[in-house]
Amino acid sequence: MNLSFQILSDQFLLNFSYLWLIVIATTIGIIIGAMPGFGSANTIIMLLPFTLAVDVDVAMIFMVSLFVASHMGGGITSILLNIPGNGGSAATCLDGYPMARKGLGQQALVLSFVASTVGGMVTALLSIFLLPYIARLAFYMHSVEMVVILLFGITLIASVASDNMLKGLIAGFLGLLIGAIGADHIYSTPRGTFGFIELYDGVPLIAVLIGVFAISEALIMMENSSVLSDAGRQMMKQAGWKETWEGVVMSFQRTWHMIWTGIIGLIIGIVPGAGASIAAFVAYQQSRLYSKTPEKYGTGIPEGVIAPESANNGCASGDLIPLLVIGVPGGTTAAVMLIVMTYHGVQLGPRLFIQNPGLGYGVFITMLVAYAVMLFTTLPLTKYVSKLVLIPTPVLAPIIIAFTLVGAFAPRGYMFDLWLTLIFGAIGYVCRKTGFNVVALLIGVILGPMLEANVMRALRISGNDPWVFVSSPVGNVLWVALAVSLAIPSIVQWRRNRAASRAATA
Amino acid sequence: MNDDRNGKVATGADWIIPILGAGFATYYLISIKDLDWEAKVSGVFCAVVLFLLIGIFALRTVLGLLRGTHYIELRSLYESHKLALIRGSLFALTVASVAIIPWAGFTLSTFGFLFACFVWLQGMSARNAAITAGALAFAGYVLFILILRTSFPQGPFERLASALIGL
Repeated sequence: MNLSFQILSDQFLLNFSYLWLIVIATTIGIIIGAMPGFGSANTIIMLLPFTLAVDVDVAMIFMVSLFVASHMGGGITSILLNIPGNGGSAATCLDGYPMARKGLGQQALVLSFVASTVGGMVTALLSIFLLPYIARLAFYMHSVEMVVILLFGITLIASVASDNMLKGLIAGFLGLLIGAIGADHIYSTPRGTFGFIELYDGVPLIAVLIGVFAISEALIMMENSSVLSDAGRQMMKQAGWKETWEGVVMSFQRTWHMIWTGIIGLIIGIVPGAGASIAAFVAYQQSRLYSKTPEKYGTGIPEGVIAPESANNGCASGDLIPLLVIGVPGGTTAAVMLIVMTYHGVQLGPRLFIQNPGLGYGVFITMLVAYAVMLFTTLPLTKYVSKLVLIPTPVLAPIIIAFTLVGAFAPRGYMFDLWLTLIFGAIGYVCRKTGFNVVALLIGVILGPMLEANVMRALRISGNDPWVFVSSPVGNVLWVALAVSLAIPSIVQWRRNRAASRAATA
Repeated sequence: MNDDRNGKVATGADWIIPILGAGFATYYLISIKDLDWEAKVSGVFCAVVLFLLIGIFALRTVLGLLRGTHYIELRSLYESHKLALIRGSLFALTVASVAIIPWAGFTLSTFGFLFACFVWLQGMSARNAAITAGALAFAGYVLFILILRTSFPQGPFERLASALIGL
């Protein structure tokens, strides 16, 4: 993998010559990313005639720009409407929406954009310079290691449900059980499908996402004439450029936070099959764990927006590494890119960096340029986009329902998914009104099937030997890290209690 | 539930999710009873833990009612008559709009849904509601059907537009 200044400078110049294409692709990507149910993969598939007709360098510039922009766009609706554009931005709702309700929607959007940019750029830079070493990670991450990584995400159920642990755990395990609907991973026999053939592939995630977030949120928001609190409404009406600048300052006061959560995203993204949703939830869980004020998470704090957004975009870099280095796509969009590159006669894997290193490294240069472009195009828009929450809820709620239902239908094209969305909307509404955490439910639905698949795979490979889970050195290190992660909050709490009791007796 | 009365905890509506959960877990266990162990191990684990958690929840509630720290309250989902009417209308209109999609198509069902919501919930004049709902439904048609090629069932509007513009 011969990296030289000449290759990098050539790629920068190539990307700058196609700046107009990057602007178009990132605009499409942000819009697509903000719409639940519409992903970058579908969009690139629709635009295949274009990507197949142009040179492979141009096609990659277009696809990579659109891909990273879709990761950034997901946070917009998470923050303003509590509706994640995709699984990777579901964790952003936890603190993004409370910030918007307080009238800090503009600052939250800026935090999201800056964290996405920093997370994306840092991980793209790391990928360029450490590509040969980072790529090896993919070889060490097997089913056993994935089980531990997924458990990191699942422990977030306990964290988000800390205000009512019992109800949170009930919601989480109900989510895990809902995630276990569908054909099993070994024999493909249907489980808990109620006889519906549409559920054989499992419960469609987008239907759950739109139901428990969008539909239930629309029903809840009818309680008030506005999404905003009275104070928040006043702040939002007077908001101007100052708030955008405040968001930028807030972001860069937490630069290290953006960097390390982005790196979490990069590492998880490298593992083929691991998605941005795992990265975002794990980053949020880790951010909360090491915070001095974990009790403030979920109330609308900047760290709660930065962590998932940075990880979500760090994951975008990670997703493409196995594609380029070993020829294995890390996600659906990477798989579509693989098709386009293969059509153009590009050989992926180590040979790519010998025959056409410019194309291999150029992917990450495109990411750098696309993020820089997006920062300059999105930041000025935050002032206007954030005003969306000023629309009265009797107008906003029906619009949310009408357009998110399209997202529930689009991925599979089944009317069944629309009815399922309405059922999950009703479940989400009851959960919210009775104190059952919908995020805990969603974590179970998203991560449950992945956990089951990896546990089964590990057992199958080892001949059903349960010791396989402690047989790998990398896995064992991760187990220790998980145990430490779980123990730290109790230890911190114990020390705080002891210090408080000492202070009281002194 | 969140609403407290003199420090007491309300319970009643918060039984809906545990009952649904227990019902679903029972059905799930029945549906997998004849499968191989690999196919049911994770489901059995989740269902057992769910039953255990619901059991603890039930025990806590019963003890709370006996000790007087809990009281039965079923109004948290209903709240006020006006709010229940608004929410019920919104959900009923949503269900109706989904039900008519196979015949009316995306554009007309969206227009009808938005128009009814704007008039009924926001109290907009019929003219303004028609203009706003029409503009939004048409924008949705252009974005989702024409550009993104979402395969929604075709309705009279989509068929007419297709015949006129050939797209």
